[in-house]
Amino acid sequence: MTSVQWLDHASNHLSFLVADCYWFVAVNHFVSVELTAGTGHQAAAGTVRWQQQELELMVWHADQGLLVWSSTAPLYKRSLPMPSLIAITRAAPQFALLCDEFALIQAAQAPVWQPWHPAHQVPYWQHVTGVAVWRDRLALNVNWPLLVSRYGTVSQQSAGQRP
Amino acid sequence: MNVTRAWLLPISVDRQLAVGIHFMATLLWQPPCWHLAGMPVFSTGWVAWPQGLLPLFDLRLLLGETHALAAEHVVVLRYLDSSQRLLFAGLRVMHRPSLITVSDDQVCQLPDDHGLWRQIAPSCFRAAQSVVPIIDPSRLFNLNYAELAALSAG
Repeated sequence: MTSVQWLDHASNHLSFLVADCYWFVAVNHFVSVELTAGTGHQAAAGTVRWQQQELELMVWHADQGLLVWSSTAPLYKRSLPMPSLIAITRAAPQFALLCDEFALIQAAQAPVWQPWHPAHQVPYWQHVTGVAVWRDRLALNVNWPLLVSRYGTVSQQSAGQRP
Repeated sequence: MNVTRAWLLPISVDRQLAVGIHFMATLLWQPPCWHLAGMPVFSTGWVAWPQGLLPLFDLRLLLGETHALAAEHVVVLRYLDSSQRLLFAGLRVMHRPSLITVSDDQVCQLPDDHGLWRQIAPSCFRAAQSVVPIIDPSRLFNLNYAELAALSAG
């Protein structure tokens, strides 16, 4: 069902998948995404075919909380409707969570971020530092080092390992 | 007798607020709004205006009413953050604000129906049959999520 193409083998930030079955929301539909990977990893990045479209996908581990797209994640279950897919730039701290479309925002295209208001500091979005409109979509700027430090970093041993 | 002018903000059918005339930046009509799952009910997202996205508040929801207003009218208010930076935020209102004149002899006690007023309203006046809190936007918009959530629960 799913063809996984690992995007970034060498990154110190991206780590790879634990479980063998994840769910994510795309355009308000549920899609079962079966990713087979080794154990001991924390998130996945790959390519998923869905409704004739090829989507790039990044999934964080089910137990890790914030950016979770797993059938077993309590936060996820509470979050419906979650942002459909996530968008990330590779140059920290310009990682962005794009709330209704998946894309990779190039650093040079990054929007001007508005400060995250104190009233928005709900636990759920505690790693967000800014908000912006990017290509008519709401985008959140995520404090990626903080996110990684809390939810774990990939080890060099696991980075680059393919399922 | 001291007389001053203020903007009267209708936030529901039977509740109005006032702000000092200099706090009002602009009135937006049917502005683009952005929402995000997991946001607190009283801060319903963001509203777009030329300088960027502004946090959008609906005080009716903070006061315990259950239905959000359609964001047809949003007033943009100026406020200072704790570092004395000038910032802006949006507040949903039912219809267009009106400019009124308030005099000292209209002063009255703050309403005691909600703890919010003592947090955000330094004064209050009576207009017609209504009690109208005068809110300080800096007090309101500098409240953080935990403080607002506590007020919402109370």
